[in-house]
Amino acid sequence: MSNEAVLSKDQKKVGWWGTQMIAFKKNIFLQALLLPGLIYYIVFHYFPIYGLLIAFKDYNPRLGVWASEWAANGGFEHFVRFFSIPNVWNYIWNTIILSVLHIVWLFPLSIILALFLNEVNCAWYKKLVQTISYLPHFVSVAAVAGMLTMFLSSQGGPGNNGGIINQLLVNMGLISEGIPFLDQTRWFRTIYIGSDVWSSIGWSAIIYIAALSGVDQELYEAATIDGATRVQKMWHISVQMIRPTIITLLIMQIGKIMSLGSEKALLLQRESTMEVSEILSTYIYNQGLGNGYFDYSAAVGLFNSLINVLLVFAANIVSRKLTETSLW
Amino acid sequence: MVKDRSISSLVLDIVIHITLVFLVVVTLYPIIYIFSVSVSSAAAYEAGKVVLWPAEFTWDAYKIVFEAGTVPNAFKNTVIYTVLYTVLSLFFTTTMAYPLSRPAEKLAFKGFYNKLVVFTMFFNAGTIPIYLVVQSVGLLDSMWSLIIPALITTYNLVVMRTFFVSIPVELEEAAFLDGANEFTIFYKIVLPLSKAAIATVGLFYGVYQWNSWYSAMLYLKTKEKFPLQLVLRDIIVQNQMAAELAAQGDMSMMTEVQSNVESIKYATLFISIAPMLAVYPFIQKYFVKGVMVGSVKG
Repeated sequence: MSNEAVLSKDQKKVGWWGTQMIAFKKNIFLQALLLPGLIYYIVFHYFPIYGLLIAFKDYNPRLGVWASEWAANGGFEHFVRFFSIPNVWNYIWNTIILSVLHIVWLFPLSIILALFLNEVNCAWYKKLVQTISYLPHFVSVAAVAGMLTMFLSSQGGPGNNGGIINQLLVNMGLISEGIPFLDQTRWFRTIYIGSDVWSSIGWSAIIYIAALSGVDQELYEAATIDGATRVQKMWHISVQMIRPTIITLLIMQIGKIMSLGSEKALLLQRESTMEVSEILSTYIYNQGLGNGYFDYSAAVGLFNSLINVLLVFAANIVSRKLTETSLW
Repeated sequence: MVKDRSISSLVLDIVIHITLVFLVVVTLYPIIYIFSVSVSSAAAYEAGKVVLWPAEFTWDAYKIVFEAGTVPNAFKNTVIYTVLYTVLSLFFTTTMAYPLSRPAEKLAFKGFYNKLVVFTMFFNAGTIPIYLVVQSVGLLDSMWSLIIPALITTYNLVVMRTFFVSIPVELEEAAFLDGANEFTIFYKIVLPLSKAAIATVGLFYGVYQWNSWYSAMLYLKTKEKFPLQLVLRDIIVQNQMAAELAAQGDMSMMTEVQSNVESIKYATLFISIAPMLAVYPFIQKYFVKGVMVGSVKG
């Protein structure tokens, strides 16, 4: 008699809990195997959620999370304070605009790259370009920021013109002395997004290249017989066939619009560019670990996380409506 | 397929090849330039002779970097952290992914465990609450703060589980009939069959740890424990090289450092990315596979 038959008969007698306990005892090894991971998740993902209580308290490190006094305004003091600082909308806007610019540039460019690679017939050439295009994905954020700092500096170097970018611009006669790009607010977004494109274009194209390689070749052949040009085939066949992939990824990206991480922004941030470079995640870092306002910073973080959850759920609903593909 | 010989096709080919060559140049130029400056003499660099290739070739900058300052120690730290982290993460990830890949009749409370894991993909408690946990379990300023709080990445867990699910059930059933228990099946059948998945996920973890600096900045105070990427940030982004050498008490190197300051920075930069550049062509195919598995299962 098989295990399943025994279980389903027991199920009727002992109910859900009983079934679980039978499976538990029968396969105790599986539960033991799961234990280390389970402990990890509880300690490093669920204890912090309990720690979020400090967002509603006047956190006192000596008293700990539980014993600290509740904050004023029914515990919502830190949230009230956040929305009363003059720059709050500025930080939110900076976060959104960087995410949007990232999508606006990287999305079309990586799709175009995939479409172009798809048109290349020479296998080794295609493979070579693809492999080279993955390279920046393996370069750390710290190294990318290091490169940008060196290449864009406006001091030192030949003729005291600064890094290679300023040297080239001076040599071409476009400027007379080095521009301190990283210290100027007007360049921050260009630098941030430009280096994003450098880092991710090849990697982001992978998924489209894979989708394109699955397209039925007969479609192209039929179109050729009907007299379609290559550009027409790219648009009417290639793009149309990967459209579901594009839409799904786009919607998921939009769902992450407020969850921009702080790593790169912190590295590229200068005192003089705070006006544009302070995004929500860097604000949380600077207030929390820079200035030591743990409770306040946790409150801003909680606000940000809740918005992110809402956006992801909304994105998923839209995705399900439009493409019948969803995350869950 | 019949070769299209029309003018529009020719123009398209030209546009495509120009674009691809441009992409290759833009991708490779910064890397080559970093290397070239790092192996050129300071005088040649100051004279503006380094544009693409090295001028007045010398290893001086590397000699200084490896003799003085914090880079050699940081490099050693990064190697240790990466190896330890990869091994431990693989242990925690495989042991958790296997039970989760079993059917619900075998794994009691499977639905609950799944929800517990998936919830963390959507809701993040944030930097400060995690920092407080790291502090309260006594990991602050310990190298384990870079390893233990990041032991499992949910994405990698999902990739691993997806792979385990794809192993044909018949193999396990046959083993069951031969009297094997769950442990034997996991250890003798599933793990040996999963070498590719373990390699893929192990590489994800390894590359992540090699390139990470953020946790180190959050949790470490002692400079001797800093990983390479954090030292790189201090030297280049925060321009702390002179201060670091002074802290090492190595005043004799100061003048040499002052005159080579640019090439030393470029050498440090190159040292931090070179190991990845050397291995990535061989490991990228595993990464590509991992991206595909992850994208299917979200």
